[in-house]
Parts: sequence; structure tokens; C-alpha cells
Amino acid sequence: MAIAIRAKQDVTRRYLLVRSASSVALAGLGSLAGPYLSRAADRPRIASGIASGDVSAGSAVVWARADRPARMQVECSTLESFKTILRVASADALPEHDFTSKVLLEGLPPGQDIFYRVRFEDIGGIPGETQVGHFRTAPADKNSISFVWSGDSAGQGWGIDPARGGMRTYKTMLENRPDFFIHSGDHIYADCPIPTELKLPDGRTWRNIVTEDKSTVAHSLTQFRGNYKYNLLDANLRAFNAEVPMFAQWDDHEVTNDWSPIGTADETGYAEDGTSRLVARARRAFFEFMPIRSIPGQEGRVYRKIGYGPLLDVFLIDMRSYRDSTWNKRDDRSDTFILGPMQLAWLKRELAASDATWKVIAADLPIGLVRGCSSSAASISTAGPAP
Amino acid sequence: MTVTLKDVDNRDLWSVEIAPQPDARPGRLLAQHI
Repeated sequence: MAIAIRAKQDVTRRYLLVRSASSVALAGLGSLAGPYLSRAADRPRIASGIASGDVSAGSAVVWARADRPARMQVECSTLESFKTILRVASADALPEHDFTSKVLLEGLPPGQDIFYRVRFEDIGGIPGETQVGHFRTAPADKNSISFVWSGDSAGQGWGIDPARGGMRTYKTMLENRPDFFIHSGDHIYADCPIPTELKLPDGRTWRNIVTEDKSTVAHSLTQFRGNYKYNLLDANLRAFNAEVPMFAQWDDHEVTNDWSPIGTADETGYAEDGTSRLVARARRAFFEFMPIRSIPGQEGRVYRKIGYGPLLDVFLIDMRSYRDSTWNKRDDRSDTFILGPMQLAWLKRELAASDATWKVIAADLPIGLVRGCSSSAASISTAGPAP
Repeated sequence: MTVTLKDVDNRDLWSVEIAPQPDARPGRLLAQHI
């Protein structure tokens, strides 16, 4: 039988109500127990965990999502005890961004473990729960660096099966205690609904947690957001996000399979500037839910460089947003392109200027050699069915 | 630099050592090749 989140939440709520009633009965003093529980329920909650991202030697993004209109308060310290506070920052979490909120912490010391704590205050200033996270700033000298990279979360209907430990890859990555994580895209599979169960080749059954917004192909902003919220139901992912900063890029399934700027639209069509409204909704949800740094004047730009000390520069590229829409859709590829002229010029310029010993170019598509066979080219370009 | 491919159970599947080339100005070379 499938596990449905809404049903589970109802059960949990009933359980709390029963417990609440029992507490009152046992205490015999409803005037004490009742108001306490009521106040706790009224406080803003952290709804989808906390996360950090785009960490450099002196700055980092901290992300969280509330369950109601609230103001996010972030404090950070080099001490796990928070005996001394290094920086504070705050930002609103409002319905227009599904209560997500981000702050940029600046002026941090390099090469340091930074502990941060997040809480939301409601519009009356009443604070809710606090969650504590951690990241390490990039070194100022030539120290060892460890990072992990991966991609493709919850694809082809394989969602969260609690009986199998959920998204165990995040637990494994956390055990390696990396300095940061490059997620090379397909954070979600917006075009792949999560069914209640799947049959395994050996006859066993994979039973997914299911939600309403992850039970259909995403078209609306609510559905795109629901894809990210689905993944954040996983305790392994939330624990990982709290401890390891993410460098996020995107690929095709944040929108739909093998999308290109032109030709990827639903019944809502294109805006006056020629951009797909479907892609715009997908991009908005991506930026709302990722701990990604905003680039002033270039809202929605995914490609960027993150300098991680003298040994390493990371170049995160975007191989979807600026590509020739006919790329991998015709045999003659002599005049086609993927990065687009502006991104390509940026990449060349930044590579040439980089003095880092190691330059890691994080690409959301596999990079390989075309060996003359069109089917090989298709596999490189992920032009076939969703991999 | 050591690059290691691991499975979900943290077992090493494949590993490779890549030596740095500090005198080659690889950034400029890379930019020329792209």
C-alpha cells in the first residue's frame, strides 16, 4: 500500500491531538498544558530543512523555507557553541516565493568551519524552532580540498522509499565529509511523476512516498515547487544539506526532457521577449529552492565561477538555456552551439584569467568525443529518452 | 588530484590520479581549445 503524505500528516495531527488531550487529562490542569501546546503550534516552522551554497573564502549563501509568512534570522559563528556571533543576517520568507528565503553571509574568515543557526520569526516577531547547520569556507592557502559531485535525483519514478532508507546516496556522501557538493543538474525530474510503487526485476516492490504535486508532469509553478519539496521530505537529503554546501547547476529535467529555449512550451506559450513561460516558471522554482548566489543584474543566470582558494576554481556552466534549439535534432551540426556566444566568451575569459592549479568545469551534459556515428552523438547529447 | 567513483554503499569502484601541470598555464590552453 502506498504511503501518502497527506494521509500521514493527518495521522500525525490526530496523534498530536490525542497526546494533547492525554496531557491535559494527566496534568489535571488544562489551563497550563493547553496554552503551551497552542503557542508551540502557532510558531513558524522550518518546513524543508536548511542549506548552504556557493561558499567561497569569505562568503556563503544560507537557505531555508518557512511554513508561513515569516522573517528568516541567521546567525553564524566559528564556534559550535555560538558563544560569539560572527555575522547576522535576515530576509523575508513570503508567499510569492513559497516561503523560501536566502541570505548572503559575507566577511567570513577563510579556511574556517562556520556554524550557522536559522530560525523564522512570524509577523508578530514570535520566533519558531532553530536549526543548526555547518559549512567550511574555502582556504586562503594551499590546503587539501575534498568535494563530491553527482546529479539526477528521483528520476524515472524512483522516489523516496522509507523502507529502503530513502535517498541513501546523500548519507554516503555525508560520511565522506566533503568540503562541498557539486550537483550537476536534474535536481528534480519535473516530467517524471512519482507513482505509488514500482516493480523491481526480482519481483520485489519499491514503495514511494507520494505527494499530489509529484504525481503529475509539472506545468504550474506550484508543481515545479512541489518537485523540490518532495525531495526535501527525505531526511538524508536534509541532513546532508545542513552539513555540506551545494554548488548547484541545472540540466534538462528541472524543466522537461531535453529542453531547448525554443520549442519548449505548454499552452501558456511564450512571453513578449520570446522566452517560454514554462521555462520561466521552472527557472523561478529552481532559484527559489537552490542555495545559489544571485548575480546582480543577471537574474536567473546559472553559469558562474566559484573561486575555492589558490588550488581550485570551479566553473559551473549551463548547457541548456542558451543552446541552439536545433542542436542534436538534425544531422548537420556544423553551425550549432550549446553554450551560446556570451557564455562561451565568459568561460574563455575566466579560464584564461584563472591562476588556480586546478580548474574544474562542471558540465550538466556528459562531455565526450563524437566518433562519426549519429547514435553516439545522441548518447553524448542525452537526446534520447530520459537517461 | 585523486578522483574516485563510489557506489551508494561508499565502495570505491574506480580511481585515477591526475598530476598538476603548474608550468603549463592550463587555463590559457583550455581557453584556446574551447
